[in-house]
Amino acid sequence: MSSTKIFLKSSDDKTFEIDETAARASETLKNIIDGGCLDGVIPLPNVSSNILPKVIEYCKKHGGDNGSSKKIANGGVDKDKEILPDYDEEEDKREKVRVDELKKWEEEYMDFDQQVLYDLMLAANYLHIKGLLDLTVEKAASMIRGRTPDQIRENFNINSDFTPEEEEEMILIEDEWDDEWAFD
Amino acid sequence: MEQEGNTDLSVLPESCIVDIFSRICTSPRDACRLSAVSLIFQSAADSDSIWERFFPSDVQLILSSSVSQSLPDFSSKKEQFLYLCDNPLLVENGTMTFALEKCSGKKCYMIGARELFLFWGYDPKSWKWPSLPESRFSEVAELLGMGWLEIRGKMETRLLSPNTTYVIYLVYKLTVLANGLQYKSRVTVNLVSCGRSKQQGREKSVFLHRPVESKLGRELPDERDANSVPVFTENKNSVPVEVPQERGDGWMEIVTDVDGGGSRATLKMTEFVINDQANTKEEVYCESVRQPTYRASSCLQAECFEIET
Repeated sequence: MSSTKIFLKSSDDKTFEIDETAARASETLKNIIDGGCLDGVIPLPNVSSNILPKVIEYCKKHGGDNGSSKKIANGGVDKDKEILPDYDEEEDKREKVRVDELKKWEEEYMDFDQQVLYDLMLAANYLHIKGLLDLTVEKAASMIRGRTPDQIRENFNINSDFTPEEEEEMILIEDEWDDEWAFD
Repeated sequence: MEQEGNTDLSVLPESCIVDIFSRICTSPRDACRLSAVSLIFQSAADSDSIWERFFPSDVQLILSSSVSQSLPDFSSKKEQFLYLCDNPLLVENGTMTFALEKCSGKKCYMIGARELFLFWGYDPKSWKWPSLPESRFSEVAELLGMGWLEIRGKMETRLLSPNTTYVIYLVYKLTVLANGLQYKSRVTVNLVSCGRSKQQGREKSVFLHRPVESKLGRELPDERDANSVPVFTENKNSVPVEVPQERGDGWMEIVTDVDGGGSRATLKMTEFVINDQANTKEEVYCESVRQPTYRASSCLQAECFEIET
């Protein structure tokens, strides 16, 4: 693999270096590289210097390895492999270890507060890094799952922006659903 | 909106929020709960990509077989979903109605009286077939009188969803002069495959006419069963007997299926539907309401069986 360096400039004008192979984890960067429009530094006006190193860290881990998150989602087993005639058990074991290690890495990588979560999700969305977007979306989902509207507002620091009338109506709808639920 | 350090979910693009929500919302109830948080939550939780997941997978096929008047144009999947919960559609050549159960999105079918087997149903002295404005079917069966009431309904299991527990109801009304239905009736639900019983439901007792403690100071007898428990008397050994409940729509319903145990017992369809996919002849029979009605001057309008989750 070539180890061409690419430079990324954050919204606050700081420049970061990344290997081309790692940068290819981002669809957006990959298109720029393949499009031949590479002109020294790629400006990323939507990503700040707080977040960009975090994004680069992810890309380094996943660069040139687009299938990794899919394998994790399948419980680390690549089903296609089983039907190949030259199926290698040892190879499969090594793959499993690699996937487990990656899972552990992702767990540590994702240990940050809510503020980083949104910015990282925005960056992943903007740069089209599917695996990273998936991780951040799942983390956000786990923060909402099973909570009441009041708990969610509190957790996410949201002020209800409904008018008092709408609020009233919401409570009515909520009660109606609770009634239906009670029969279940 | 743009704050220092994004702590507000509203900075996220809608596609991300919908993606987050689609991992959380497993039922319409979840979606409605999320939509109560804030406007941005509401717009994501109400989106089509969330709501289209709540429909049964074959809903388009069912809708295309509908003989009801044409459906309104829906502005969203949520609107369509709620419409199908509240407005049952006539399907299967008008012999059944189809609706969605609001909390789960599961299928509810109602079988019209014309599709039921009614003992002596063809006899005009025993039954008549009026139209009632409050019925979703064009005709209902009205019992005029007979000595033996027997109602049976059946439906093919291919219409139901696999891995789903269904409850079967008998839906009916009592006329002002209804009489003779205060006796215990026996109910069974059987799963039948190619004419042979595959699972025999346990027999269960129901009252079609909620018995009132007799003003004459005596209990109403079950004339066929000398050992029966007198109505509404607490007897420790007695099997729970179902009494009818008022539905919201002016009809009464009684849960008629059996599975042993609980008062709202259910018949599990799962294994049959899954294991016998090749067999489309499978049917659920509800052999219901066999009861002696001596002095039969009762009036019963049996609308249908409703099958829902």
